[in-house]
Amino acid sequence: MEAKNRVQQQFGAAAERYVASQSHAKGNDLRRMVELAQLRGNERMLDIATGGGHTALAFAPHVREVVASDLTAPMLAAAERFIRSQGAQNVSFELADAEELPFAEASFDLVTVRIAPHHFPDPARFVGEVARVLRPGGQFIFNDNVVPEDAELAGFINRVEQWRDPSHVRSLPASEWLVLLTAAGLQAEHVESGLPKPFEFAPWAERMSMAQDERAALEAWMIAAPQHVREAFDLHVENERVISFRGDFALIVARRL
Amino acid sequence: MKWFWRILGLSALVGFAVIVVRAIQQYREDSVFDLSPAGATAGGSYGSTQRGISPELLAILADPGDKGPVELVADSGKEWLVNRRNGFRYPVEDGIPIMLLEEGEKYKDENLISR
Repeated sequence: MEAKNRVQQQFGAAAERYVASQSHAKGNDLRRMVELAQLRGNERMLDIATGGGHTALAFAPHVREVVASDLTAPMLAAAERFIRSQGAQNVSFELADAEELPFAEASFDLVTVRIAPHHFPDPARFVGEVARVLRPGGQFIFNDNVVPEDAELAGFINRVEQWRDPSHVRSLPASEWLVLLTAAGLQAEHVESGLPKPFEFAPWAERMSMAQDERAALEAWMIAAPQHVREAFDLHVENERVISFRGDFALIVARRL
Repeated sequence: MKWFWRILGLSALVGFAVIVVRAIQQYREDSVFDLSPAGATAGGSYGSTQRGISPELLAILADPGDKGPVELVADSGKEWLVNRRNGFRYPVEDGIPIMLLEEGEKYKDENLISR
């Protein structure tokens, strides 16, 4: 439960910043998700951990109905205000835990999740719940940060993420997600892994209101990393400050068998 | 003669229905692949309105624990989603159902359990 309380604290305080965040609002990945779904317009969809509501809003004009869920009440309220202000009428909102979904089995044609599962303490349980609420033949569209298969590199980037945001649990390598999906009865039909995700360090740190000294300590730690680690993440340093780095994300489309 | 008018009326009705259905289909097809800019309205008129839980949503809502159905109950101006099997009550706040187990347990009312 502790990890979930941390999520509520972090995102309760940062709700409006996430609605406004450019890297969350924009992004070809959102457009790509809609394309990959090959929608017919009659789907009932669930967007898990909707955050600022950007995924729910992007899909809303293309499906019959969207249910947007999130664990954090202020985050969900901010998403609702934002989505209503954009004129979407077919989105409803539920406060729910991604690992304990409050829906009957086979309720949805489509489930989406974007930039969130790295906060979930039990990814296997989450994937199991996705499979349960999807109808047979239904689609799961997954989009999240992933880490390299190499354990040292994975450990480095997860440490960076946790330092900045204590509610970051762990980003998994794509291979691990594929194992979880298969175990839950979801068949991956499309996998794009290792997609580059550049971060400007300053806005990235500020979105989670990192204290100045913590931020400086994190930067020093990143700069002190071995050469091959810095290269693996395109760490860009000027005057002893981190300017930018690059993470990876994966897009996976899986179908419920 | 009477039959003639009846059949004519019926076919006019069917024809009109077909036109309406086609128009809706076309609109949906048209709107499927244009990622509409901010400000665009939704493709369907389906779903919940500003506040309140639609019957369609209620039909798929379940208790997060036992996954069984929940019942919408109004009690002195406040709405709850009630699990009749164990008395858990999930509050609806500002139109948003709070479907967390610890919330349901917090407001548990054993009088609501149906025998």
